Amino acid sequence: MSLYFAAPLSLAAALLLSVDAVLAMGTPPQAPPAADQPAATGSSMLKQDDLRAGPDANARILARLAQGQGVKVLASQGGWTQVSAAGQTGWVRVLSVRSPAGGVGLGEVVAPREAGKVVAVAGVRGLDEEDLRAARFDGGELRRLDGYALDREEAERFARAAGLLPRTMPYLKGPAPAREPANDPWGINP
Amino acid sequence: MKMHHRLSVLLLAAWAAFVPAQAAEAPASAPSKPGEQLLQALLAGKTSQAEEVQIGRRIAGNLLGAAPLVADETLQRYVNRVGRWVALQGERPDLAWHFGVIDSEDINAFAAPGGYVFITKGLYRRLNDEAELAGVLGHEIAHVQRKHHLKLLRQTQVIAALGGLLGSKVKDEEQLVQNLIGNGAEIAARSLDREAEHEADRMGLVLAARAGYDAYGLPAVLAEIGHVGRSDKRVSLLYKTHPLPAERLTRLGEAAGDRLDTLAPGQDGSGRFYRLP
Repeated sequence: MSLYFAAPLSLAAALLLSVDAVLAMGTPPQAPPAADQPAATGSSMLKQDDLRAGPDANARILARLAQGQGVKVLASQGGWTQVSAAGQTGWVRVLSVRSPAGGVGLGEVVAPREAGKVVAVAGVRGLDEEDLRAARFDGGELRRLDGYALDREEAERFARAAGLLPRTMPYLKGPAPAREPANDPWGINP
Repeated sequence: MKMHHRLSVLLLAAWAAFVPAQAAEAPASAPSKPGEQLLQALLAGKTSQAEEVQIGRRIAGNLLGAAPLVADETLQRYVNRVGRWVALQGERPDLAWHFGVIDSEDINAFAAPGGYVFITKGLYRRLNDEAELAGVLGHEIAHVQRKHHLKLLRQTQVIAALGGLLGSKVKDEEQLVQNLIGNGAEIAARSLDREAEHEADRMGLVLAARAGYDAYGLPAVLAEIGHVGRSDKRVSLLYKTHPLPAERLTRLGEAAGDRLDTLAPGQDGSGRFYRLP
């Protein structure tokens, strides 16, 4: 919680605060573990999925891979990852595979892009909490930002020229809410 | 859930503490100054679009004070073309959307109410194609659409109102907006609800796909960020305020299921992608 908001809190109010309200107010969440990426121990199936003969949901099913089963990632194409598992080679959905680095199958075939590249950071302004808290309003930069903004027609012209075809697709649903709808006139509780 | 009921009790107490203070100077139904009106609207969750933009503009100006725009007009115009097109696929196509690449090697992206979206040069440098850029911008656009930061501010203001910190004493409207958002651009360093981040991932993926891009741009960026060591200072703020990339990917994968199987392949836009000199 920032000092700015800490001062006016009465003890009574502090006692009333629920844990998640405090978290939402910007208390640092639990620090990430100090260790870097876990050692590479091979990829595994994040969830059960069918191993198919090609990168296509209609391709022939070769086997069913169980959640947690070890696989070797060979390649990726669109939304599909080619893996070998239990003596067979085939394709599974890219989001079904967890890579050793803790990412998904995708992360393994997308090689780290900065390997061996030295990034100069000396003299570069950082963006930690202190920098952000101390930041002063910069009207000049804001006007520059305004100057780059596009209107709707310009964006549509760009898309046409690029051959970007809009398509309809509903949003993906999240997990079913685990809690009953709260009496929440301000819509604060998720 | 018990905890949320407790929060509601707190909100009620805050509301009760706040309203009489307002009523003493002016009828609650007709606040005398725009600043009071703004505060009341925020607390009631009824911020107008103009008020939302006013708040977001202040945050954007402060953030630019911490890290200015990269001095590359071609880059800035390019990011606005992609961002504006992705934003057109959502529920608030007519907001005055602004996109900017800010000069920081940190790996992060930010959104502010009213349509302000920023990506750091450090993150932009790690992008491989336009579909990945579209996915990142889509995530931030989703925060704006769902007004996630306004909700965070509202929670804060309810607390502040309890202590009588805010209210009718502030004369300068800009000063009141600054008081609302805290110090400088610190709101950019504060965590949203984790579910809000997962929701923004789900929506960002779909907004990019609707715009005609490969749907796997955002997952690819998350996987790429996962390669950066957790102890690397460039990701410390991102990791402090967001779930870890592996968790975000897992949740995206669960939400996607087989729903992306029938989606025609989109563009990756790698040929158009503007690479930093």
